[in-house]
Amino acid sequence: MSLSTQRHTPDPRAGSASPLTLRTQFAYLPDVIAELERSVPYASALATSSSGVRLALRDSEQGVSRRDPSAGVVLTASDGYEIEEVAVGATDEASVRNASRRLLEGLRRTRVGAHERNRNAINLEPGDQLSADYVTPVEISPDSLSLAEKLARFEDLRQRARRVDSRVVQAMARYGDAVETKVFVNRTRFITEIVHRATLNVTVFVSDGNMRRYNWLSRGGTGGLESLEVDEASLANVTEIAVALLGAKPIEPGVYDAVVDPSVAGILAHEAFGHGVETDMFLKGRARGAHYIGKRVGSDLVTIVDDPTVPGANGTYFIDDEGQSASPTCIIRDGVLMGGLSDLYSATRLGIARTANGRRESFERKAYARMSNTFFTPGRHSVEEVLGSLDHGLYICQGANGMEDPKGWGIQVGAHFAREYRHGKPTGVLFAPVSITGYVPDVLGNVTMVANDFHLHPGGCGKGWKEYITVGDGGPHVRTRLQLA
Amino acid sequence: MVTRTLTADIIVQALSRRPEIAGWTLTRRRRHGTQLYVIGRDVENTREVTTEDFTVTVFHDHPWPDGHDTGIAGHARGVSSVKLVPGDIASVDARLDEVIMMASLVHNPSYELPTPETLPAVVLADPQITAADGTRRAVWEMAEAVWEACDREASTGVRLSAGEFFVTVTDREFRTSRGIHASSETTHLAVEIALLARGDSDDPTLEAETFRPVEARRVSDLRLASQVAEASRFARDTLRARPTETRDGPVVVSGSALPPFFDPFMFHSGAQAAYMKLSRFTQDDTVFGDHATVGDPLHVSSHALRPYGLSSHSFDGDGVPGRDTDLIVGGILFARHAPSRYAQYLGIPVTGEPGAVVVRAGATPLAELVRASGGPVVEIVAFSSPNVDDITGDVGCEIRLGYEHLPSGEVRPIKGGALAGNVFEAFASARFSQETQEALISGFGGGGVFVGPRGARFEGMRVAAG
Repeated sequence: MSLSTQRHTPDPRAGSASPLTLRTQFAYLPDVIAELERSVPYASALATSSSGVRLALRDSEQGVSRRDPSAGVVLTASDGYEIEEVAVGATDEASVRNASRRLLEGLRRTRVGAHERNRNAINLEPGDQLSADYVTPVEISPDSLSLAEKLARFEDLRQRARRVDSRVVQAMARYGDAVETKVFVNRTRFITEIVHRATLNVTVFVSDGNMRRYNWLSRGGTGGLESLEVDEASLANVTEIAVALLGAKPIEPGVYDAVVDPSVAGILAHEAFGHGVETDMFLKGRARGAHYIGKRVGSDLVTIVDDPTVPGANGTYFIDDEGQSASPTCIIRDGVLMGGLSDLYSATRLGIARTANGRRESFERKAYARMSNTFFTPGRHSVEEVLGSLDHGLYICQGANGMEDPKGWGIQVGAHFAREYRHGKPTGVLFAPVSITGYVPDVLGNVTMVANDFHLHPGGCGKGWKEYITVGDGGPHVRTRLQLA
Repeated sequence: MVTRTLTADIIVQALSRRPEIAGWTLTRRRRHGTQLYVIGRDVENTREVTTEDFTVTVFHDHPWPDGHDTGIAGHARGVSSVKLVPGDIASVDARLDEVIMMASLVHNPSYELPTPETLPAVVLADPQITAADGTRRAVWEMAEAVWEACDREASTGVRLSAGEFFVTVTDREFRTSRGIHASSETTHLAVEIALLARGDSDDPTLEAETFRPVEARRVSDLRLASQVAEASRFARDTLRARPTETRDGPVVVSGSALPPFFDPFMFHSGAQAAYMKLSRFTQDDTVFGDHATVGDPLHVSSHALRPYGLSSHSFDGDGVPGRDTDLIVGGILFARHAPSRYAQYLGIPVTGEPGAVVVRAGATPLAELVRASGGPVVEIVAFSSPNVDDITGDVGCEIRLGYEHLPSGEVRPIKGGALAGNVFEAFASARFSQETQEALISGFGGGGVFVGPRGARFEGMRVAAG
């Protein structure tokens, strides 16, 4: 068989996973849990694995590798006061039973002081009986292309972006696909989940001989190659904007009427009232939102939802990492803060409802209350109406990054550039970069128009400065008034 | 029954049976650690984590595809990596089949793996932590230190919201087809603390928070008592801070807010950036472009040999010995930090991967840099996030806490708003404090590990109102 037509072999750790193989592989876990629960009131197990292929293509360099495969099991036990976990980078029964013994030893050692340290007992509930298997629907499987075909396809894409302008000094394409498996077991639940994922990023760098500017395009989420389609106009637009940014001006700091595109709106939603309603932050006294449930925090036009069930989105899953079935949570409805996103521990401590937001970076890290896909819901105006309403303002595009401040309700969102609008039309003037700062209730309170479009963008999210997970964020075009610098 | 487990020797033997590969590297990494999560004085979670993996990188030489440059070597080099875990013992050959196939499909200009050299001894592990049960003892030692320090702050209205304590021991073995066989043991500690300050009001919505992440290789290097004391002061000052006003005057960036401003200089000093045609720096030319240098001379070095340094290493990912290298001298690009591959591509000396970012301090006391004469001087000590663009050098950071130094000598805390500008312009006229600092965070926002001035004064950056 010619190498150039060879399909890449499925990775036995994940690539060929099926619910049946997962149930067979981890059939021993219920017994491990039962054995643990002879000593403690609550125990659970989470087995995860991920595997896939990653391509990195740029001028004179090509890289291809397996994504960092991870496979491991974390055992969780609570003695009724605190939680102890042992995580091992192995999935075989002997290693996991050994981890179970170490977990009990650890609990015995820490139990001595536990009652003095923790004033309140905690009763972790396992949830209703549930045995289920979930698999992401895939229209075009990454395995339908050989590795050579993937290399050719994305190298061609990269070259097409590069050819758009002679000022391009570098163009990069990064592709990745992955299969992520999850098995959650406690005394009432045995659930398997297989999530397929594909992502693509094209970044173009341009230079006028001194200054460098760049622009990028991202596609992908859960599912297969169907989410990676890039039309010619979008590809050319990446390069054309990068070139236009060579002439961009720094923005004059001040308060502007602005329309944010869905990528910027998504980061606003994520930073403003995504992190701000993660209920582990309520428990720690680190979120002002805890004191505003049922109160107005934005204009009537603002509704923000976190939803791990959006088909194909980057933050989509079927169960969270603590066995809770995925369902949407309305965070803000018509400007009023409705509630938070919870993990098992904080929901139990606070006595509030569980939502499916207990997520881990990997089996090596603990579960926290985390977002999934967080977005503004669409409004009733067309995008043209919203942009046309800007008499003297800015259209802020290409959200790049953000930082939360759940206690102070400050916000920082970095956008790649902004287009000047006068009398509802673009003037051709670009500003870059653009930093949005301000007070969250002001940003949301000043929302005066919400468009009827809707786009979700793939992203990554940290908690504080670590704990990276995949998320989606977005929404429609939103008009508000912003402090920019 | 004998249970076989995967070892580096088994992988090396399997690699030696593959004549079609032009070379290989193998890294075995074994980690164990303890994590402790507390909310106030309550323990939420204690975790033990153990992992082991083997990263195999193979090189495959083959003809360039039609129409491509044949390169100096006359052939292309493909490279690919795969990670194995102990459970893969039965599939080593299949994994190697796959990674060799992957390497055969990609085409890069040829380069050689380094040959063995004498490696410097760099101490990176605390024996108290590598001892039996050392990671568990260390997390509790750190937690007790934070609790005690917070108790001392209680009278000021500041309390611990939450803390996270991580201790990890990593044992690494590195082997290559060129005969390098090296090992290292490192300890890594990470602490995150969030402090809350409450003023005269009982209203919890009027509290202020300070969040502080720190990392080190030894508990004592974390200086937890002083970290808590400073974070406590920041939380109290945030409580009484007034909104930032728009200003064009001088700005001093100090403490942990400063190191990320050097990231673009490190990026553009790199051989990889030059090879990718992304570097704006030219050998022996100013790093400030058209901007005249009127501030303190900028000297930036990379130090890989600092004992217990977070970025220190005896050998890098290719097996190149760690070393100290001057990169920017007097504002001029003196040398590039160059891993083996990119050094060969550019025909420049190999320095290996960079270590700590070391910046020469200035001659001016920090108190002098913040002294106001005509108008106020704004000093920024904490950003929400260090948003400094490596490529463009553009800065746009929300101010989490700063101080306005007034001509009268009064110092007023401020918060909100943003600092905007460009580091390549701003550093041309920057002045550095004579006091130095060693940054204690290597990850996001840490700018690598930084050793340099505690503060820098910029004339060309802009503070925008919040």
